[in-house]
Amino acid sequence: MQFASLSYMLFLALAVAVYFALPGSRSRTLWLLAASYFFYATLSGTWTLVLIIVTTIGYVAGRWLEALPQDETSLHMPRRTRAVLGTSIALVVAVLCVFKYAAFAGDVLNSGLALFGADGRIQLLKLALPIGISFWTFQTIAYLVDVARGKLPAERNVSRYALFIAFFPHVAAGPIARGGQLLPQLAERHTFSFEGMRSGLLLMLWGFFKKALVADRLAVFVAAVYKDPHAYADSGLVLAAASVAFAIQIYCDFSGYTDIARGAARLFGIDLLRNFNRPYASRSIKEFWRRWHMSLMGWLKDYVYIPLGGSRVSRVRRYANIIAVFALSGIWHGTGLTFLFWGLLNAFYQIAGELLTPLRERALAISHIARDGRLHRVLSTITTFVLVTIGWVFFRAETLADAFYIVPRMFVPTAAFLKHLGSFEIGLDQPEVILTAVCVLIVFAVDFVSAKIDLPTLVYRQPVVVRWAFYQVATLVVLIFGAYGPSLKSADFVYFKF
Amino acid sequence: MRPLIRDIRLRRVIACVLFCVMLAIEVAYVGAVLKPSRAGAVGGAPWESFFALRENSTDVLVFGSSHAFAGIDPAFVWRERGIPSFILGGPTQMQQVTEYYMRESLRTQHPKVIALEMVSVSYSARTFSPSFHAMNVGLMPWTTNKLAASWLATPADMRVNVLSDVWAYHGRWSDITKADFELGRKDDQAAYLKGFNPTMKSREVSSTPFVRPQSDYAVAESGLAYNLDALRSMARMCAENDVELLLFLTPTGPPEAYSYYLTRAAEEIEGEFDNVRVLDLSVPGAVPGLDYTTDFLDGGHLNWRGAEKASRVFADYLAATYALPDRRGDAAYRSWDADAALRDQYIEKRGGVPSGK
Repeated sequence: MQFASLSYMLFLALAVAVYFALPGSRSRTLWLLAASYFFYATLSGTWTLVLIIVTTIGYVAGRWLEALPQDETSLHMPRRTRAVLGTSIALVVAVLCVFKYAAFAGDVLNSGLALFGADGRIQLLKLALPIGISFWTFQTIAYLVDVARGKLPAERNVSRYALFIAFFPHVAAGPIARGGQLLPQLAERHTFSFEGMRSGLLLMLWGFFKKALVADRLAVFVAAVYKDPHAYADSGLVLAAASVAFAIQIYCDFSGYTDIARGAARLFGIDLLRNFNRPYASRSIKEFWRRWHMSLMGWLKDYVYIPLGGSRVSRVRRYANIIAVFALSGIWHGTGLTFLFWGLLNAFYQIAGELLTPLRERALAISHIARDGRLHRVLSTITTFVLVTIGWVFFRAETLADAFYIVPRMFVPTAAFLKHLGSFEIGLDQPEVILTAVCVLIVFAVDFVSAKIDLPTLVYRQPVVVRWAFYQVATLVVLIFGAYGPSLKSADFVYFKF
Repeated sequence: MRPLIRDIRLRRVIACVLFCVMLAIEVAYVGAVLKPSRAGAVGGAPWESFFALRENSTDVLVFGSSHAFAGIDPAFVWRERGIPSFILGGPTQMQQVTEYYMRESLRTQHPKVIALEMVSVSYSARTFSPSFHAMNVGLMPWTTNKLAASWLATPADMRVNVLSDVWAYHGRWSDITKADFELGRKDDQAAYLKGFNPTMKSREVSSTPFVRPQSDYAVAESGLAYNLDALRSMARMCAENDVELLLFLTPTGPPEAYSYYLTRAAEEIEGEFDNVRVLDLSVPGAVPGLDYTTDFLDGGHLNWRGAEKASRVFADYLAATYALPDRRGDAAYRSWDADAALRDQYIEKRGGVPSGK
C-alpha cells in the first residue's frame, strides 16, 4: 500500500476513526499496532516476520539492560551492560547485513577473486529487502543505547514498544524516532483535536504536492537521462539539468514523504521528528547536513560521532571521525560503491571546507565582500547547492564510471540542450515540463517564505470561504495534476529501499 | 450575531461533513470530465448499451481481449445468420476480469453460447497493463461484481484505487478539450455496433509460419496455471447456467501466434466439462479469403474488413454447431436490422465498402 493511493487514504481514515472510538489507551495501542502490522504486511509480505524478530530482540535486550546493575560512580558502562548491548546491537545489525549487504559482499568478493584470475563464483544470499529495515534497525540501536546509558527507562509494555518500532507512518522510511521522544507520546491517551486533524491533513497535502507533482515527474526526466548518460555526450547541459532535477527530486520525494508521514501521525495526536529544514538554503556543507535528513544525521552524531570522540579530539582524529560518519551514512543509504563514494565525498567537502577557511576569509577580504552581505549569502548558497548536486550525481548514477562521466560534462554548455528538451527523450511532454517548473517554483517559494512566516497559521486565519476554497482547490490540484496511478507508474518513494 | 448552532463541536462536525460532501462531488465531477468519451467506437465494453438490450434477447455473448472487439462484428453475424450477439471485451483484459464480466452479463442475458476469445490465456505479469486494467474494471457498472474485480482480480497495489475515475484517468489532464465537459454526450453513442470496434487502417503482416520463441513457453506455463483457474471457473459458470462455452481465436498476424495457448488451455480442461468447444480461426486457411496484406490493423488485430471475413466463418460455425435459430424476420428483433444498417453507414462514412453493398 503506497502512501499516494486511495487505499492508503481509506486505511488511514479507518485507522483514525477506530482509534478515537476506542475508550482506553491500551486498546488504542493494540489497534494502532494491528493497523501498523497490516500496513507493513501490504508492503513487505512475509518479511513482516523480520520486523517482528528485530522488535523482539529490541524489547528483550532493553528489559535485560535495565535489569543489569548500574555503576553510578563510573562514567563508563559496566562490562556486563556493554556485553549485552554489544551482543544485541550485533544481532540487529546482523539481520540488516544479511538482508542488505550479503549480496553486495558476494559481488565485491567475486570481483576481487576475478582480479586474481579465479573462475569460481561465490553465491551469497540475495534476499528481498524488508521495507524500511535500515530505519527501524537504527531506531532499535538508538533505543538500546539510550537504555544502556540510563537515559531512558526500558519500555515494559510490549505492544507499546512494538508500536514504537512499527508505527505505520514512519515504519517504511522514517523519520528515525527516539524512544525518549516517541514512547511517552504513545503512552498518552490523546483526545480528538480538530486543530490536530486540520494541521495533519494540511501537512499531508503539502507532502503529496511535493511527491506527486514534483518528485515523480522529475523522476521520469532523471531516469531517462541517467539510464544512458552517454547518449547525451553532445549536451552537457542536459546532464546538468538532470542532475539539478535529481537534487530537487530527492528533496521533494523524501521531504514530501516525511510530511505525509508526520501529517498522518499528527492525526493520532502524535508528533514525529522533523527531517528537513530548508536544506537548499544552506550556506555550507556543514549547515546542509544539519538541515537534511535531520533524524539520521542526529542519530549519526549521537551514536557514532560523539562516541568516537566528536570534536574533543585531535584534528586528525576528528577528521577521521567525520570520514567514518559519512562513510557509514553512505553505506546506510545503499550497497553500491556509488553510495560509499557519495558519503566520502561529503566528508571531503566538510574537511576541505574547514581547511580552506583561512583562504576563503582572505579572498573575502581582498575582494571586499562582506561576510554577512547579501552577495556572500547568495554566492555561498549557490556554491553549496552545486557541491551537493555533484554529490547527488554519485548517489543517483548506476555506476561510478557513469558518475565520473557525468560530472565533468555537466559544466560544458552546448546548444544541443534545446534539441533534447523539445523532444520526448526527456520523458515528459511540454505541458508537463511547464507544470513541473511552476510546481518547483512553488516549492522553493514556500520554503523561502516559511523562514519568515508560519504559512499554516496564515491559512487558518483566513475567512472560512477562503480556507475551504484553498483546501479544496489544493486537493483537486494534487489529484488532477499529480503523477500517480496507472497513467504514470508512480515511482516508489526513493527512500523506501534504504 | 449569534451563530445558528451554538455548540462549537456540533458546528465543526457539520462543517466537516459538508466539506467532505462538497469535495466528493467535486472529485466525482472531475473524474467524469477526465474519463475519456465513450462516444463512437473506442474499445472497451459498452456496458450501458448492453444493459439497454431487451432481457434475454441475445443468443451469443462474446468476451475477451481487444482481439474479440476488433475481430468479431455482431452486425455482420446478424446479417449472415440472424444470430443476435454482443461483445463485452476489454483491451488486454485478464481472464480474471472477464470472469466478473461474464457474471455481470448473466444477470440480464441468458445466451445459448458464450464465446471466449483466448489470447488472454497467454497473459502474464509481462503483458499486464495497469491503465487498461483500470479501464476494464472502471467501466463495469457499480455492482458487487465490480467490487470483486477491483479486489480479487486486481494486483495488490491497485486494489480499491481502480474504482476511482480520477485515479485512473487523471493523466489525461493535458488532453482535455471542451467536449470533455459535455458529460451527457460521453456515453456510448454507437450502440448499434454492439461492442464491435471497427478500425479502418490496414497494415501488411507476416504470412510466414510462426515459430514461437522458446522463452515464450516458459511465460505461458507460469501464466497458464493462474489463467486456467479463471477459465475453469468460467466453464463451471457456463455449465451451471446451461450455456455452451466456445473457446476461440480470431485470425492473428503472425498466424497461429496464440494457437499453442488455446490448445494447452483446451487440453487442460478437456474431460472436466462437456459444454466446451474450440474454434481456432488463427490457423492459416481457417478464414477463406483472408488477406494478410489488407485485412489487419496491426500485427495482431483484424481491421473491419478482416472482421467481416472472420465473422462470416464465426457465424457459420455457431449456426451449424449449436443449431441457433435465425431470428431475422422476428418482430422482436426488428431493431437489429436497423442497427446493421447503421453499422454499414458507420463503415461507409469512414471510406469502407461493407460486404454485400
